[in-house]
Amino acid sequence: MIELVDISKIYKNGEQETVALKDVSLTIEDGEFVAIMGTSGSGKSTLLHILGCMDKPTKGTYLLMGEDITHFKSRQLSKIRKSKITFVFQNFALMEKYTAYENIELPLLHRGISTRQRKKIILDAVRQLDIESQLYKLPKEMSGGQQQRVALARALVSGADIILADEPTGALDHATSMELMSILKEYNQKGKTVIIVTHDKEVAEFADKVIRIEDGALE
Amino acid sequence: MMSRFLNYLARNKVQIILVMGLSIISLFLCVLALTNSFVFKAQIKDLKKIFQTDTDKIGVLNFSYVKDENRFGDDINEIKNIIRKDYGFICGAYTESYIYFEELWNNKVYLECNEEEYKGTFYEEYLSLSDVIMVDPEMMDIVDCGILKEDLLPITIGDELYYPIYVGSDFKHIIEIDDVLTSDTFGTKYIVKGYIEDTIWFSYYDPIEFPASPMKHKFIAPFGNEERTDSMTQLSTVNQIFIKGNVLKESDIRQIEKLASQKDIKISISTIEEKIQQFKVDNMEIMRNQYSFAIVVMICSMISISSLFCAFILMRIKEYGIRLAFGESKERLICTMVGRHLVYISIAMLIVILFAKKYFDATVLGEFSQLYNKSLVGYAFPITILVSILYTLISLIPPIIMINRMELVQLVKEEEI
Ligand SMILES: Nc1ncnc2c1ncn2[C@@H]1O[C@H](COP(=O)(O)OP(=O)(O)O)[C@@H](O)[C@H]1O
Ligand SMILES: [Mg+2]
Repeated sequence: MIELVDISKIYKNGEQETVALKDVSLTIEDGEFVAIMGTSGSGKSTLLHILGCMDKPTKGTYLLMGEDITHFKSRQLSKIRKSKITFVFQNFALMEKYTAYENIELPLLHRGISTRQRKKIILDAVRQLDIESQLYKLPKEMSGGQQQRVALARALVSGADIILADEPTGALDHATSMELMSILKEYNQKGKTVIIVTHDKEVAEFADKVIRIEDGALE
Repeated sequence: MMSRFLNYLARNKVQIILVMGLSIISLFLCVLALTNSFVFKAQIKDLKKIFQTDTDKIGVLNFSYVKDENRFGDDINEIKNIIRKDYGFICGAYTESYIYFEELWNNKVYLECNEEEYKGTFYEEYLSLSDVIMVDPEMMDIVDCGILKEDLLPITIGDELYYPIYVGSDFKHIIEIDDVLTSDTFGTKYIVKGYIEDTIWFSYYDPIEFPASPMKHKFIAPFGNEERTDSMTQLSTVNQIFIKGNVLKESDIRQIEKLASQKDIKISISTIEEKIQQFKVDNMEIMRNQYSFAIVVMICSMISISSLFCAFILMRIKEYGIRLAFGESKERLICTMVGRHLVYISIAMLIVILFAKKYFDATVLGEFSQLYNKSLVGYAFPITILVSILYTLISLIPPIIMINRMELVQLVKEEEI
C-alpha cells in the first residue's frame, strides 16, 4: 500500500519558486490500477517521480507498505527501486549499447542471483511477452513496440509489485498502445499495482481509478 | 561477471586503449626514474661498504699523464714506498685481470662452472681463464673484504715462495684449501688459503662510477714479485691506487703530487668523498630531469584520463540514468568504474614490468645488470605499483564527483529516458 500525506514539492530557482505539488494526499491499495491525468505542467511527472522514489518531496510523508520512507537515504531508495518499485518510460529507456538480454538483466544484477538463475527468469519473462527472438538484438534494431516489451520484461523480472509508467504509450501507435495496455492490465490482474500517467482517455479506461491533478493539486 | 567484463572491453576499445597508452607511458617513465636513482644510491652505498673508514680519509690517485710507461713499475713502487714511509699513509693498489692457472687448464668441472658465468661475455671463448683481483696487501687496511693484510703475506715452503690466494665460493667444490695454483704469466705460485663468501669488490672499469660486484666467482691474491715490478701490470692499477690516513693533509697531498711529477707522472689526489660528491652532482642533474619529466607526463596523463572518464560519463549519461533508475546505487557505479580502472592499470603495470625488464636488459651494461635487476624488482616496481594506485585514484576524483552529483530525476527529465 502507498500512502502520501500532504506531499508538496517546491522547486527553487534562485528567487523564483515553482510549486509543482501542493499538499497532495492519496492512498493506493495493493493491486490497484490507477491512472493519473492532467494537463501538461500540472505536476503528473513530479508526482510519479516521488511515488517512484526517484525524487524526494519538499514536505509531507510517504508511507510505503506501512514504512515511513520520507527520510530514506539515496542508497536505501535505490534498494527500493531495485526490488519493490519499477518503471516503464515513454521512451523505453533502454541502454543503447546493450542487447535486449542485458537490458532486461539490469535489475537482477548485484542481487546474489546466479547467472543461470538470471537466465531462467529472463527467458520466462520474454516468453510471456513474445520477444524471444529479439533477445540478442540491440534496441535500435527493434520496433518501438518491441522495445517497449523489452522495457516491460525488465520491469517484470525485477519482481517489483508496483509498476510506474510515465506516458508509456506516448511513443507508440494506437494498436500497439492498446496491446501494451492489455499486457499491463494482465499484470494488474495477476496482483501488481500499476500506476500510469497519461493524456489519453482511451488508455485511462484500463484503470480502476483515475486521479486528476491540476496545478499541483488533486481535484 | 567475467563475460560481462569482456563485453565491456569490447564495447569500449577506444577509451581503454587511450587510458592504457597514457598509463603505460607515464608508469614506464616512473619506473625509469626510480630505477636509475635507486641504482645510483645502491652503488654509493656499496662503495661505502667496501671502504672500511670514512670516505674522506681515503684518497685516490688520479693519473693524467705517464711519460715513460716502461719505467712505470719501478716508479710507482718508489712513490708508494715514499708515501708509506715519509707520510705515514697506508697506500695500496688493485687490478683485476684474467689469467690462466696451469692446474685448472683442463679441469672439466672448472670449465663448466665458468661456462654459465662467462656466457655472453668476451670470455665465453676462454673458459679456462680465471678472474683474479691482484692487490697490494695494504689494500686490506683500506677496504673491508674479510681478509687481513697479514693473510696476504708470502709463505715459504721448502725453498719455494708461495703467495696466498683466496677463492670465490663458487669454486668451493673444485678447489681445496692448500691446493697450489700456478699462474702461466710469470709462473707465480699461489697456495689456496681460504674462500671468499658474500663480499663485493670494485668494478673492473672504475671503482667509483661503476658498481661493485660480488667476488664469489673471483680470486684474490697479492701481487707477486714479478707483478709488482711489471710495468704492464702496474699500469692497469692506474686510478686504482688509494692512500689512507687519519687526516689527509692538503700540504702532504700537494707534496706527493709534486713527488710524482719529478718522475714525469702527473697525478692529482682527491678523496673518495670528493669523488662521490662529484659523481652525485653529475647524476643529480640527470636524475632531476628524469623525475621532472616523469612527473609532468604523469600529471598530464592524469588530467587526460580524468577528462576521458568525464567525457565518457557524459556520453553515457542516459545509461547512468537508467542504471540509477533500476536500482543501481551511485556507490556501485563508482566502485565499478574504479574497479575497472584498477584492472586497466594492473594490465598496464604488467606491460610496463615486462617492457622495463626487456628495456634494461637491452640497454644496461653487463656490469650494471645485477644492480638494475635488484633495483627494478626490489624498489622501482613496488613503488610504481603504489604510485599507479594513487595515480588511478587521483585521476578518478573528478569523474567520481561527477557521478556523485548526478540527480536521477534530472537525468530522467532531461534525457527523457
Ligand atoms: N527541476 C525543475 N525546476 C523547476 N521547475 C520544475 C522542475 N521540474 C518541473 N518543474 C515545474 O513543475 C511543474 C510540474 O512539472 P511536471 O511534473 O513535469 O508536469 P507534467 O508531467 O504534468 O507535465 C511544471 O510547472 C514544471 O515547469
Ligand atoms: Mg510529464
